[in-house]
Amino acid sequence: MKQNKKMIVCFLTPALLFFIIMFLYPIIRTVIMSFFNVEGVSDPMSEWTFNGLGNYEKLLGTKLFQTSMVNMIKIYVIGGIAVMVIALLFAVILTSGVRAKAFWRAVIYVPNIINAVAISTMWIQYVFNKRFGLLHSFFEALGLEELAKIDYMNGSWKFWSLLIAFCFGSVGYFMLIFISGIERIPADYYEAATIDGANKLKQFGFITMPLIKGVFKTCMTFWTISIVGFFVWSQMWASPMPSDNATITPVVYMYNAVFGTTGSTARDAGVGAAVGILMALIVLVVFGLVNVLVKDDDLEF
Amino acid sequence: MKKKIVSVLLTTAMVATLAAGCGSSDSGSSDSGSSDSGKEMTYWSMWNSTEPQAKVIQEAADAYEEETGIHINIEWKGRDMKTLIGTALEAGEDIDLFDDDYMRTIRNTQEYLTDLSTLEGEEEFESHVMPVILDKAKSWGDGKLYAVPYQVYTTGVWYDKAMFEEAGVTDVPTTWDEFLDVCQKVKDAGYNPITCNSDSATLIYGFQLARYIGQDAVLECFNNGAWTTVPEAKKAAEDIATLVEKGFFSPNAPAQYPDGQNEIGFGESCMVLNASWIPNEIVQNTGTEVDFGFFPWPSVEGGVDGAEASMVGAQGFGIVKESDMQQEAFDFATMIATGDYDLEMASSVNSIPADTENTEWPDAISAAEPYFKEMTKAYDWAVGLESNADFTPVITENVVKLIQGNTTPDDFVQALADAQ
Repeated sequence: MKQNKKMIVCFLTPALLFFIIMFLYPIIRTVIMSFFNVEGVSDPMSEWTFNGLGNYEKLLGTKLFQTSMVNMIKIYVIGGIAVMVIALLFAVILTSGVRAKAFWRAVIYVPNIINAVAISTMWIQYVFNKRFGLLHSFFEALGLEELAKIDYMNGSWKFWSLLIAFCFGSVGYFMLIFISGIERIPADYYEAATIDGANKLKQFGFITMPLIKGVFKTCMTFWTISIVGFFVWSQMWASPMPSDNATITPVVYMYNAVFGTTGSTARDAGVGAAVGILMALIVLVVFGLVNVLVKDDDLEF
Repeated sequence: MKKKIVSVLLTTAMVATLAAGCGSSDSGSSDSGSSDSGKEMTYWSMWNSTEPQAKVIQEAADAYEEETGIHINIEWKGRDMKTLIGTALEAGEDIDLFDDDYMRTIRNTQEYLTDLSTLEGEEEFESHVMPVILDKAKSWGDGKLYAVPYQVYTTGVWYDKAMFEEAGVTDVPTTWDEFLDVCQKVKDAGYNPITCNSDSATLIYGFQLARYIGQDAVLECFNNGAWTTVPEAKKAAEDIATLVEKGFFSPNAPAQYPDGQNEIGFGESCMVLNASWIPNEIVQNTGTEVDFGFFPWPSVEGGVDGAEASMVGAQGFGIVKESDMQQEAFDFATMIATGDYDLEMASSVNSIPADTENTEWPDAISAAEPYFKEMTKAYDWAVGLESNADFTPVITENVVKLIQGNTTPDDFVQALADAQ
């Protein structure tokens, strides 16, 4: 055993060193940075001045940051419900023995393989464009002039066009996770339930749902992480502006605060770090809540 | 036991090679530098290698190498430059020169840059730079020049000359009332007088407000959130509302970039207020040859600014202070910013030649040339309305609403005041 320990040390040391240098050091630095006035993200520590909770206060008092938080929560809740419901529906349908299952599964998953920049360009240019877009042409062909005139990329529609496009691409990913969860449930349960006279809906409510609670937890975790880090889609929708009231998210706000924008050279890495810490805290709180609310170890099968 | 020792040794060797791997790449590049032609310098570029600007720069770099024997390593970083350069300079990356928007180059990275007046030929170079650009650049560097400006732009109203002719407009408008007349004539001729993109909607409000009170007062109003107390803030919004009421804006305005500006290429709209890269973009995007005319944003009654004031800007080369080839880097930068390469750059992307001695402007934008000479006041981008990243989206959203006709001037100024 003694030699074994030596081996463990030998193999772990490089990984541990890399972890400390590449992850732990930046994390600690960011935490400290969020309490200081720092201009450039790489400014030496000697140029930092202590600011206490000033960065956090400034953030919470900034209208644009509040807007970005509201946007993020809207995407998280509304998008989350929509994506989970649709993904679960597809998963149930695909595991119920439909023909060409592999084909449908692939079709629904495809948007995940395509780069987010490419797919959002597709949505913006081919679907939402108010001159050539699919929706415009569709309504025009039907003679619905008022609907054809809607500008999906400006004003009150902008957020919803973003949300629809983003959710469209997310469904396939969560569907796959749900499918793998549902397929783990032994078929005997359903057989027995069918014999006892339970219809499909009851089977779903009393067998499938309780047994995939753990999968829900996984999905919630992935969803939280992807929404807290919501960046590319927001940038694509705002482009070529650095950000936009309707679609800005905290991470976009952080990016602009740290690196400045086209018209503004002001940079504030301290505020950026504070955004990062706040986001990390949010993720931790959500994880905690999910763990308390969803217990997946009370059922064994 | 023996096996264990061997594996420990192997592990150590593995770690050692990892460490060595990191180290060797650094020393490798500097080694090859000195062995090639004796001298080599590194240039981080804000262009992507496929852009026409990059082609001109590459040509210049080849010519420079032939002339001096100094090889220039160009790293095409694209517009990510603003996120990369600060960290790279701080980390002591081996960069001799780089470029970015000249305001960003000077204001964000000044502490890493060489004061160009310490270099040979700087005085001579200054005489080639447009005075309005030079003054602006020096104002950010406490009177010293820290960047070599090139690819200059100016801003004003670009219009389709053929439509003006058809509408019977003979003289370009210089005052607000004349501007309204021209708009009416163009509208009567069956075109949308004005179009705009949502990303540059702030320009219209910024210009109109600055025509009344000048850029300094605009910034003061902006920084103090004094929208409801400065009467001109509402006056400018009312002027825009007038344009909307009279139906002078395209029904699609403000459209997602670049749909708004493209309407000129499609022969639907006539005028757009934007920078001098717009004619080239419209021609490239729509594939139509439009003969562009230009006039500065009109002056207003009781206003302080007129044709002499406009948004101008440029890209700028910064020479890194730590570089041991500052002079060479400066020579290369000025080679691009002046003379033949400047002219080639201008004609390849229809931009303004930076060198005052290059008086031949590309046809697409030549209409702006006489005005540029008279220009004495330089506005910042969007007359400073985009200088606060926390507030820009708010102002953009409200100007868009104003142009869409979804808000009144009263609500407009109130919304701006509330958001600050």
